[in-house]
Amino acid sequence: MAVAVVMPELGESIVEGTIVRWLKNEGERVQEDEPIVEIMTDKVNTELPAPASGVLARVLAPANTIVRVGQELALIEPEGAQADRGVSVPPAGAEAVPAPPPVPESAGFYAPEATEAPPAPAPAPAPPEGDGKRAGRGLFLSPVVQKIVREQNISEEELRTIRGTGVGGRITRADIERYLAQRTAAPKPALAPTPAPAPTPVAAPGEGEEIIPLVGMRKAIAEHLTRSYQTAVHVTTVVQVDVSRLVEFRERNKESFQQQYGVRLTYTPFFIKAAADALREFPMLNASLVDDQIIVRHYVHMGVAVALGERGEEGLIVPVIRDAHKKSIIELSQELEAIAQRARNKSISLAEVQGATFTLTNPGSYGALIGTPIINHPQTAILGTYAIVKMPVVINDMIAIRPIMHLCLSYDHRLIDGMYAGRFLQRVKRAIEEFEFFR
Amino acid sequence: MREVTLLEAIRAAIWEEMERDPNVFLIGEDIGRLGGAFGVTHGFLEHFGADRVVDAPISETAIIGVAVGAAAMGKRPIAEMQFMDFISCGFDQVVNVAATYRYRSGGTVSLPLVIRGPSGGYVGGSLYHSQQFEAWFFHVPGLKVVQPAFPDDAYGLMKAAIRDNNPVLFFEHKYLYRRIKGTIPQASDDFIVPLGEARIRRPGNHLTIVTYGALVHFALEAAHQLEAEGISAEVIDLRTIKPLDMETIANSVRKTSKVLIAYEAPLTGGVGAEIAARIAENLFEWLDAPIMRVAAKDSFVPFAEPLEKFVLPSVDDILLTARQLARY
Amino acid sequence: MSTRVKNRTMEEEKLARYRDRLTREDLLEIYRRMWFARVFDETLYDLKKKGRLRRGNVYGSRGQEAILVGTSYPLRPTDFVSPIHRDMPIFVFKGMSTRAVMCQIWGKANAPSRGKDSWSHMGDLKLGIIHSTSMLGSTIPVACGVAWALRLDGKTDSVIMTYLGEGATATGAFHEGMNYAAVHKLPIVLIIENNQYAYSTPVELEVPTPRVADRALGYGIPGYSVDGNDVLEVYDATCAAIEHARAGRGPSIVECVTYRLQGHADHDETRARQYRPVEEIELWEKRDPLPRFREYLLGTGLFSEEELPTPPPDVVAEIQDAVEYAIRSPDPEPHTALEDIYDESAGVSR
Repeated sequence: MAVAVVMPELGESIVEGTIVRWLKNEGERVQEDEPIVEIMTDKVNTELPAPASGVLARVLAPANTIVRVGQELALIEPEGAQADRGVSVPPAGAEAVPAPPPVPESAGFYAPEATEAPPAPAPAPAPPEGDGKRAGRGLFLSPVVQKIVREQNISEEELRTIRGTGVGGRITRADIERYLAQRTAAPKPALAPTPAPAPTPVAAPGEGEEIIPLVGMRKAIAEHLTRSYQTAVHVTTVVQVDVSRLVEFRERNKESFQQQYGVRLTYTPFFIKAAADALREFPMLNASLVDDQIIVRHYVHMGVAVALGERGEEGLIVPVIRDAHKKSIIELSQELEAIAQRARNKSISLAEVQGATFTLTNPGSYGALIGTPIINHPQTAILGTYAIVKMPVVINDMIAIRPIMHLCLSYDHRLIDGMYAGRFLQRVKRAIEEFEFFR
Repeated sequence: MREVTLLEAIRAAIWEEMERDPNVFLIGEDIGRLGGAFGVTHGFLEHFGADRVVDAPISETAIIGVAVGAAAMGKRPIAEMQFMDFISCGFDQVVNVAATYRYRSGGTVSLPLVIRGPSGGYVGGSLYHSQQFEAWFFHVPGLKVVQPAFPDDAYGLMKAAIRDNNPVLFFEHKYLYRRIKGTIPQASDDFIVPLGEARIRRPGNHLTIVTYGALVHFALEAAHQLEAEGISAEVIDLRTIKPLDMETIANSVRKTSKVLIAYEAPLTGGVGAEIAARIAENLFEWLDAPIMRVAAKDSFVPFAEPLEKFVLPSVDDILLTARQLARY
Repeated sequence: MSTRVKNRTMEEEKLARYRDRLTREDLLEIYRRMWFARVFDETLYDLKKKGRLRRGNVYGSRGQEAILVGTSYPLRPTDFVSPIHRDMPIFVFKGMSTRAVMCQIWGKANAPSRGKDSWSHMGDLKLGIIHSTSMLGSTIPVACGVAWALRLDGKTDSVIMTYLGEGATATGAFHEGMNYAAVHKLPIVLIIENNQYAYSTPVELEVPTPRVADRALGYGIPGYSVDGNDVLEVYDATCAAIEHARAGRGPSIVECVTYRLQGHADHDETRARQYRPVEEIELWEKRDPLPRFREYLLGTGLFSEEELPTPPPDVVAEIQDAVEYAIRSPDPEPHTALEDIYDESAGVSR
């Protein structure tokens, strides 16, 4: 019996991923637990281990295809048993490849609204061999879409360029019809100089344009932010914080800190600490609205947004500092640096990007003065820390020059009223201004 | 045109058919002296006499049986079930005697009879005054099954049912009886709504809601709300449940590729199952999403308000499923 | 096993006046019809055993011929009957051709039900024969409906004769139908063929009253209980019930006490001699209505032996002809199975 390599559920909101590359070729021997495929999913790249030892008999989802959770990616056959085409899923409890979650009977083909995982289509069986109906391995096409694909001679390559707006990125009838309208409208090249068939892009790029398919992390971010923005009722409130003491403390201690603890002393751990402490007093901002229930957490898992790439061109990742409310500035500093490092070199584990209850973002790091961050669904609020700039301020009816920072809190107005958010911000502001961190 | 309730539309249709055709007569419990439990036949006894407005004993088997015998003889009886729930007491006469009559007669006997009565929930009627039994009869060859949602349809369909040469079960939704008003044509217009023709009550492009009875109004309300969300739902009122107007359904499915079937009876084995099966069999390649059903939970219709609300399908149920379907 | 054939009451003696109106020709025709029933029955049992009738059950009327003939003989062409499975000859007595009846039994294309249904589930309303079903008792409400239609048309002198076994009086449909008929004084004559067994269940387990006719008490209508193996006694009671109905006085019950000499159907011959005492069967064999009536006719001195052949050859010839005709007749085309479900010849259905 062949053992299937199944796309695991790689996170609470992850419904699909993209095959980056296969680390083993068809016909190659693999050992159980040996990494065989690299997958890019929502915010992380990860390697999947082989669920069994044997020969990688067949790759069902080649590189660059989008695969859904629960989908079979490849078959591993015991050595010398290549003739056997039967498929078995690894037994329950085999840690390497968690089985896809059971679809609740009552929920039909979708999960209830507003649960953390977006509605996952009931796992369709993996395409059997030679099944021509399922155009493009790894792509679920509904009957009507298959029909249109067949009638309009849409190639697999074309299909991959079509952006699916359905559940899990499924290409809907509307998507493909929109695509066809564009395809018809696009000017046809005069005479193809070479007969080599090139993949047809969604739309012919205009002069000076290029078309980049929306895949992988960018696609995940796009969808995630869309959901966040469409779900939560966003309001942003801003306070101005005098960070004189914080700046002074850092200036005074940054060298000794580095020497003593081996990490740089930055402002971020202070913001984490201030926010985490305040969240303990304002737990609704640390809650989630799921269906008709509010889940209030009495712990703080602080998500910290980390931009990737020199200019942020490689996307963004949000590692999580667990139980931030229990940690000291030193511990926070050490953990933050380690996790950010792993994020930047893409070696972060899935667990490290899951389960945040609140997010801190620091657009101040690239000089932003003020902004309106988008909540990280299904959280309830996000705190932005902006650039520290010297500004004239009025103190005791006198004008003074102080380092000032704006704190911008975006919160879900469905759950949080203005005053509550305001009080929370005041609490954070006080912690920073009064420098309450070592008390 | 006349402005009437759904109940008055039914009453007008029966009255006019009785005036038009002396073969039409009524039989049922409390339909004469009382004028019917809901007043559909109020004033009929005085006008048409006791031979044509028969106050029957509590005997559903006899009521339907008498209708069968008289219909075989060429009369056009209308048998009232005081509540459609009670048709179970006359089940044998409906499915074994009436439905089969023409068949076993080798096509020599026609059975022009109507069995009508109030059905459906949302009125706190509890177990035996709330049920929607159409699926039982939907399953039986030889019968036709009708449930109107608007006065004009009720009026035109009742006339068609009376003039039809087959046994027709006419389910009148008691929740709609006096809630729904509309205009019907003058008696002189001889207005008929043919049996077996669905009606698109609201056109749309994104998904199709196939429904009938009280749920037509729920579906229209849902479609109205969906419009505000950018979802365009087409609402098909079957009007006649058997024979099914698959042509209208198919045309809509070819347009929208997404179907929601809403009915008030318990989910399992309901009319929606057959519609879903036919779409799956014949229109598979037009589907862009699973066929979905919204129906009552597989329970009885309970008495207490929170219980009834929980069991019976609501506007919100339709909305929720429609949104998920639209998003799929 | 009680047979419950009781002595005549004074009341029932009065009934005997009806038979006095029968002519010599009437009596010969009654004799002939009883033999028709007997030969019909024997022929079908024989053909079933020989495999020439391959499908369907044969429900015999052996021993009950006096009822079939005695009840139907007084009927007019404008009257209606609703026979059940043990009454096949009544279809012929009411005007259906023997050939048509045999075609029905063989399931032929030219049968009254065109092969759709079997045996007694046929009718012809023009001949006054109402189509019955297997749900015994369900015919009574339908008969009431026929009566209602006649009432609406002002045809008040037709009666509807409905047949039931004693077992079917236990059904709800029996009660609802009789109650309705009695309430509205419908011209129904209900013939109960009390042959002591509903399939295998003895009458004691079906009916709690001493006589099945006692059911009539609950509806305030006349209930006669007569010797069902005496064709003239059956005739008398039936005539009284018909007269009552024609006078607009409502329904009556005529219980004809008899015995099913065979099994429930041809498949039941062996077991029917197990669930019933053989002595009981033998006792009733001695009460066979055919020899009884022949003896009676000879006793009147009006008939010679030659005039009362056993069986009359024309009866045998008629039935043989019908059987051969049915066997020769075409089978229905398969696609006709989907015809006659609806009537779309009129109305406004699409």
